[in-house]
Amino acid sequence: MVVLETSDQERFTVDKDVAERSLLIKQMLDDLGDSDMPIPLPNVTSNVLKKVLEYCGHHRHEPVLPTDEGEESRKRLTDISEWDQKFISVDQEMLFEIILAANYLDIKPLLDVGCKTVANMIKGKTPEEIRRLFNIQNDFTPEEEAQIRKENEWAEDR
Amino acid sequence: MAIPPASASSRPPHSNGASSLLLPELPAELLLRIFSHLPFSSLASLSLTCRGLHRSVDEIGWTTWLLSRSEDNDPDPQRRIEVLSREEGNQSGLKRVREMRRCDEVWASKAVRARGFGYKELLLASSGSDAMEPINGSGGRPPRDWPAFPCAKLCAQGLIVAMRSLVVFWSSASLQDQAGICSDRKPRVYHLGEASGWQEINAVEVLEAQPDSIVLAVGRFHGVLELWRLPIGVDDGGGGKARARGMGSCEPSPGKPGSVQSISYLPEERLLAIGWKDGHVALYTLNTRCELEPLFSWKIPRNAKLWCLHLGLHYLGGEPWLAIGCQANTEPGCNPSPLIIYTDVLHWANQCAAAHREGRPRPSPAVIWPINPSRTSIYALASPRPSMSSPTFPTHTLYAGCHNGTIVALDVSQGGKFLARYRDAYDDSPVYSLSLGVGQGSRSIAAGTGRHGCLKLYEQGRDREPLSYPEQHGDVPKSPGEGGEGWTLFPPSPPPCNSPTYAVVGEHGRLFCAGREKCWEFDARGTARSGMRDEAIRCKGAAWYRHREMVLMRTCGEEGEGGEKQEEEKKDNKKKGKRWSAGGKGFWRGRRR
Repeated sequence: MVVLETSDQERFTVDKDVAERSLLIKQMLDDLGDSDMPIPLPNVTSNVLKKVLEYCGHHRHEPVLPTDEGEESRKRLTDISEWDQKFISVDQEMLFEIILAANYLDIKPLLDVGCKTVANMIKGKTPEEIRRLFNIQNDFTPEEEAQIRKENEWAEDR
Repeated sequence: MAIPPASASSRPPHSNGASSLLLPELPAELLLRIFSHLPFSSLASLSLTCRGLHRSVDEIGWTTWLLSRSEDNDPDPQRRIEVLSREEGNQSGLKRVREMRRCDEVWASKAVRARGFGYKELLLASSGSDAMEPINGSGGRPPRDWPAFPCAKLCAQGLIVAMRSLVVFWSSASLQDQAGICSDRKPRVYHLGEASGWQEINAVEVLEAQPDSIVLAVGRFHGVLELWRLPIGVDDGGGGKARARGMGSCEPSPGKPGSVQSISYLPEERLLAIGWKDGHVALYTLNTRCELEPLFSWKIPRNAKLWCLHLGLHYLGGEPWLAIGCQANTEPGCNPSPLIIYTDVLHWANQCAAAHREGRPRPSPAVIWPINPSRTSIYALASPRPSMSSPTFPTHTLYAGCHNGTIVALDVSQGGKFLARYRDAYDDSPVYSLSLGVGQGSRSIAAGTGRHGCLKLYEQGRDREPLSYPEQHGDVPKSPGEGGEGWTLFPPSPPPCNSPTYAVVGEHGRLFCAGREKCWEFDARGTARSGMRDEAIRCKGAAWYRHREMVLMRTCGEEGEGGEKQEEEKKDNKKKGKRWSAGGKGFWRGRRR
């Protein structure tokens, strides 16, 4: 069993194979050897870690691919599995937090699910719709906007 | 362990329940991952939402999109088109990508333009000045027949072609010109003569390329290595009388090792390797004052004649390796491999130097002798630079150009495992020079050949099924993956050009090769639609044929003279089983039956 400590000082006790879905934690465990010291995760809050561990628990029996090969197979998988889809149906803030946590903890498959989900949210939307969706302020002057529109027209030309 | 900058998780949640963490604020590496799943139209929409995202899309989005369309699917922001395009640093990312796409289209349609630049013209143009000194032979060697044996390098500042005791330099800015090497902005000529009695330059390597000067390592015919600083700043007098400054030289190690045959520099380690013809090899490090510090020198086994050497990296930030290509040894009982790879050369050299100081015997190197199925001499070596490496073609892939016209790809980190072989079944003229990262998607290997000097292009990604590893030395593996998709590019007027291509350098859309009398450029810039009928001056379309089909696909004479009719003729000839001579004698001399 491994003890993880989040930024808000909450402790989680999890099975080693679940925790080792995170290559960061795996690396730390390898470096530390056997010890009961809690592993500090100063960049992750408890509610995000809870969610991340849920993912790790569900995928605990899948092989962890080394980064290079993982990268290869990642490209082949274009779809998100049903369970993952349900798992990632969270509000936007949580989604971004999960992506950041997955990046920090080095959990490639989760990072991928997150990024694909964001990409799917963006696909097929107009700039105005994207601004509304992600609460983005339009800080262009009308001239700038026209200029970029002109540049982007190449989309049809390509 | 490096801890990434604190994420937004410490921030208090937004009071109205909206996201406190905004998309534009995500770190670039995460945006990159998201962008890699998006189509062009979505990236265009994103770039219209706000300034922050516009900048991100411009900087990394378009490149990601471009690369994710290629087969490698390698959304690596580090992978950049290396050299000349850097000139356009202020151009928007989209424009740059568009330019690259256009190049790809031109490569796909093979409508590349070709132009030649004769060295002779250049030297005559600069006559009257002290430029003629080496040729007139006042105090120098008597002039030989004009053929030269040039070497070429491409660096961030431009193209360098060295021959005799001259260095000709085209700045990146002048190469950006529509007319490329034939631009009105004439190249500059530097005479690296006095100190060494006008000895011929045999090898050249760029050590430093600053906007105002370039530092070159120059290897001479009589075995001396010199460093030169070429001033390339604003003083452009047209024709270039700026004087290069010598920065010291290194005499060859004991005896007469013959000419300097090859120089290779690894900027990541500031490591320089020099190979002499008799098999002497020396390693130097370049210190921050741009002086060479000797590390270690040795002689390769077997008294083999050394043709080329190449320094590479095992992986990004990894250990350097050294590959040496030499003359094939056909004596019975000898290891027939003409390729030697020192897998951990820097470590070994340091150990040897230490052992030498302490009077200990020198440790034996970690060496691999990969099996070269062709068992012929190796004249050219190349490996991807870190900036153009990809998961499919990492920095430890070594390409070796052989005497029998094949190019063999090996994996240095796996003990020289045989990866693939590229060859033109109809033409076995030797490979004299290699350049990677050119052509469509920067995925082609360009090989300059001996004999007639045609340029072979092979696609790196295609037909790269691993060949079966030969059981015994010299067994030639038979398996798919042979041949490969490739095509031959002829320099115009007249093919053949009757000179080997001694050097070939290039990047995505440009290829420069140097023969005895001329420097050729193949240019894939410009739109595919306008093809070669656009306004470029003194340039002709290149003729080419696909290896598999043996059909001449296109040949064009001077601008405006239609020449495409030859295509059909060629086909007829093939049906009749006639040999086709490519407008001159000797081209098919080496053809197999």
